[in-house]
Amino acid sequence: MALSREQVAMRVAQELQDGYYVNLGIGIPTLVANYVPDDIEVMLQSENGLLGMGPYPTKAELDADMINAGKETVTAAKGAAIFNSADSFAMIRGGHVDLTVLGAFEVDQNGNIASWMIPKKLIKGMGGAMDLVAGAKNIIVTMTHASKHGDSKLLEACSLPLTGVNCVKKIVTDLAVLEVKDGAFHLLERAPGVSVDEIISKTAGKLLVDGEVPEMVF
Amino acid sequence: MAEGKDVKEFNGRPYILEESITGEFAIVKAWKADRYGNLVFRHTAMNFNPMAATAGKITVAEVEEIVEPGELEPSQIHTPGIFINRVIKGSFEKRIERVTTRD
Repeated sequence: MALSREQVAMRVAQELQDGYYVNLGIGIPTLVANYVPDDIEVMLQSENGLLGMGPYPTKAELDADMINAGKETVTAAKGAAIFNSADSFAMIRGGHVDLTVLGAFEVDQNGNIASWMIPKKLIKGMGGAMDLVAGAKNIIVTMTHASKHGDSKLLEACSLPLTGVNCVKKIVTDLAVLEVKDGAFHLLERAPGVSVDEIISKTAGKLLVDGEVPEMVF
Repeated sequence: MAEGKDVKEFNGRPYILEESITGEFAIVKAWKADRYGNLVFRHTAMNFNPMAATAGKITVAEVEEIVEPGELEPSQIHTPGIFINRVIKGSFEKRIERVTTRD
């Protein structure tokens, strides 16, 4: 069965390593913060100017001046730092952020990502994504494998305006974990109960399947 | 995004050149100011304000509190008063666009 949003976030959380500085995008990526393994420490970066983002506040802690890049109210974790946007993007562009997790409309087999606008339909704005995909050491994209209409989002070439070129290394969808390498998607894991055939049928780009594909373990 | 813009390579990586944004007026919101225009921002309400404050021919700061010179610790000032031309003490209803809590 296809994974829930929470399960996608749980699977992404398995990629975190102790000491990582991580930027989480809006949507499913934000949920990853709920599943950081207990035995590791990660610092969450929010590109509006917060390094060391803590959990959502209690009602009593609510503060209009403490928000993340998604405009949600948050808290500062112990050891947090708050700074201006220039410093924030200096740490992103300077390659200091170990991992960024973000959503996308489309990803293609060359690691190109489209995430900010659909011509004549939707302009989400690029936000910090352009800098994050260009600057972060590692990039994981989370998205549904196919659109509501069944169209694959893993393409030979993105059709929408790009956010970044040749930058996506790994994709976690509701059906599979894939690596993007050498101009192809490599199927690493499948969601429990989802067949390789279903993943093949919903992947429009070049997909390589090497031997038995294990199910994800939670 | 890159269409029609100059590209320059530094250390083997291509970079798009963008002109900085300037304006006749810059309007920023800060937490505290003294009458020299030295500004302190509060928490993540800092964001783009320090950069915007440097970009106006005339920069206006709306603040929650005006304090006497000397009350702000010099090493804690986020925007030096040289960038600020006007200070207005505003009255604020602090609305939150997206309330998210854990309880």
